[in-house]
Amino acid sequence: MTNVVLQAAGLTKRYGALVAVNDLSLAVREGEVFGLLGPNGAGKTTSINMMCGLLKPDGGRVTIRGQPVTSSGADIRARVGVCPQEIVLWKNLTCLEQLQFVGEMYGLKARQARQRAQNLLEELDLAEKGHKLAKTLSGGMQRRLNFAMALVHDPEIVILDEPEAGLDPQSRVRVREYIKTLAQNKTVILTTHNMDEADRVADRVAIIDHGELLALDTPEALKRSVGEGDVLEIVLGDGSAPALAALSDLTDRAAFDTTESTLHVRALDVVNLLPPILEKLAAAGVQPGEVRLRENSLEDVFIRLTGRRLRE
Amino acid sequence: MRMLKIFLKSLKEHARDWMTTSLSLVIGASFVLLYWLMIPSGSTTYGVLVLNHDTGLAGQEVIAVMEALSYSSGDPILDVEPIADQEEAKATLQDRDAEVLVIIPEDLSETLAAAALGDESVASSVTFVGDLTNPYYAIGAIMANAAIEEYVQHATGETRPITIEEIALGASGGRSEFELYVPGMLIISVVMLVFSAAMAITSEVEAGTLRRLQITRMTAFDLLAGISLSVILLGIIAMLLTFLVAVALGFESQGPIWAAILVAAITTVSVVGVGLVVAAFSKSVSQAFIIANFPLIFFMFFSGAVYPIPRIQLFEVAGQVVSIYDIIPPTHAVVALNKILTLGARPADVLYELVSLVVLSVVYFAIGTWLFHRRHMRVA
Repeated sequence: MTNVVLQAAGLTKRYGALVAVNDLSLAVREGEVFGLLGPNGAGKTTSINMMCGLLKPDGGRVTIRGQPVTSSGADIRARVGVCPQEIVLWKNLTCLEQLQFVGEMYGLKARQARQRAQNLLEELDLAEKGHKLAKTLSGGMQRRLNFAMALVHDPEIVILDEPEAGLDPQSRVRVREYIKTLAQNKTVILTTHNMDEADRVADRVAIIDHGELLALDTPEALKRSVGEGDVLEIVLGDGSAPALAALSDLTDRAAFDTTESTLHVRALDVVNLLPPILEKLAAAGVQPGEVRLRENSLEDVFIRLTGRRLRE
Repeated sequence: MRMLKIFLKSLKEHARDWMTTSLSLVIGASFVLLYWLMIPSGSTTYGVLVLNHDTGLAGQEVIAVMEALSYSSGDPILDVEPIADQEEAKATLQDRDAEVLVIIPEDLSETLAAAALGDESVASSVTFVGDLTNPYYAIGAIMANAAIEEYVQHATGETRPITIEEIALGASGGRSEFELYVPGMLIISVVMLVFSAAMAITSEVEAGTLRRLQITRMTAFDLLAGISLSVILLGIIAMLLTFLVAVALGFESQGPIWAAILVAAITTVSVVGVGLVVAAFSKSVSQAFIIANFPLIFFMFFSGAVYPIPRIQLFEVAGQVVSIYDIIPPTHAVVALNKILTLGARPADVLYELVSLVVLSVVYFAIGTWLFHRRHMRVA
């Protein structure tokens, strides 16, 4: 049986009339990369703030190895390392100084913290910048240092809030590789609104929207749940209702979804279906615009669950 | 010792932000230099214009007596300038290039001569002209009047039924006006650190580093005490720097300097407490800077650091009058430093001020810590 390291049960957080997180329950297993996928404002950051003890839930609770986070004190919280979405550094401290300082705040001995800081700087290609002030680093380097700060005390669970935000494509690839390396001996929880990131990096993905858990499974299983095959996207100028009516006799060969002005067609042989679809649309007087073909993705899962795109 | 680590980290940050830190440290010393430049002789000299219409010698002799008035250091009290045109004199007064115009009547010599012979029916009038809103006018006029009185007594042979004897407290009789300002300036050097304290603490909020630290094993006390210690150290350095500049410009302490440093250090605790209150209500460093101006004004102007203020009595405890401004810690610090530096008091002589300062500093620090914790560090 897989060990559960972190469990959220009925987690709820309200800000006045706004319910930021609503009855969220999930279990994160030891050694997995767990993705929290949802659009901006879905409640991802609020959820992880409750998981690491920075926010007190209005309802429900979070436990780490069975012990509640909020009431168990610093020992439990120190099992978690958090990398916030924003770059949070002391601009007038060197890379080495701030890593060592945070390590010491977690209770490491000075020598131990310094050694750990040096190792992390090497792992994240910042060894040469160890004695440089944080404010003199480039944006990408600052983001890597921000990442290292979450790891300096060697936590059991690492929470990464939008780890790829603001990264160039090259750094993004390196961060993904590093997350996979981390997952060899740690549990990683990451939040993202990037379906590609969640799909490539996470072992399991929880899709949340408006503070509620909509689905939780492996990326493959989630994608399978909305149908097999590839997806054809046809941009429609005159709305989707007439198009769906025109294609009604093809529903046994494909699944049709619409979002505002785009028709999504999913089928195993979707390319072969394109000519009859275009014929039927023309016969119904619907003028198709751009046509795109792509692989089935978590975006489709989100569309199926919410009726809208992740970025909307 | 996490507090010590935070203290060292905070010191490094202050040192690397050297421009802001240097300016904070030299503000008090700059004030001292400014006062010294305003009073180069060490004491204020009051400008007196004299329009002498006297046809005899008395007018000239009155001027000579005025010119002879001096401080114990030998510096003149009045800068006397004979003038011929009244309109020109008024223009000079309006420009505040002089404080008083003394108009000596043409019959002064004649009147004094008659009075000396016992004629009690004679009278003459010396006129004083000045801008009554000019704070220096009153002192200049009083000193000029004293000189005239002295001359009249001498010229007429009259004796006063009452003589006035002046006893200076401690070494105050030999102090220059510049030296009297120094204790207040020392307190200002410490009070100005309300900016450094508020901004150093708020920077942790603004940068998000406070949130990062909150999930470590660090406690609120570790953080606030660590940062506060660094500001207290800055306060002591600022005070010492101010003191050294004052000494270089001629200031002499009459009491033990370590006692003055102790007073400054305790005052800094209260200043840091106020900095914490400011930080509690600030989300950014610029906001903290603006808010910190308000307590600064109270600390500077209502403590007596810049100029003496009247005491509005609230009540009396064990023979000690408690005034409304006594709730401001620097009020006690200014009194204590005056007693130590000017009057040569020992710490035992300023026990009331020291105890008040300690109690108020602890209260201010406790309020600041509680408010900051409640608004920025409580898990909500």
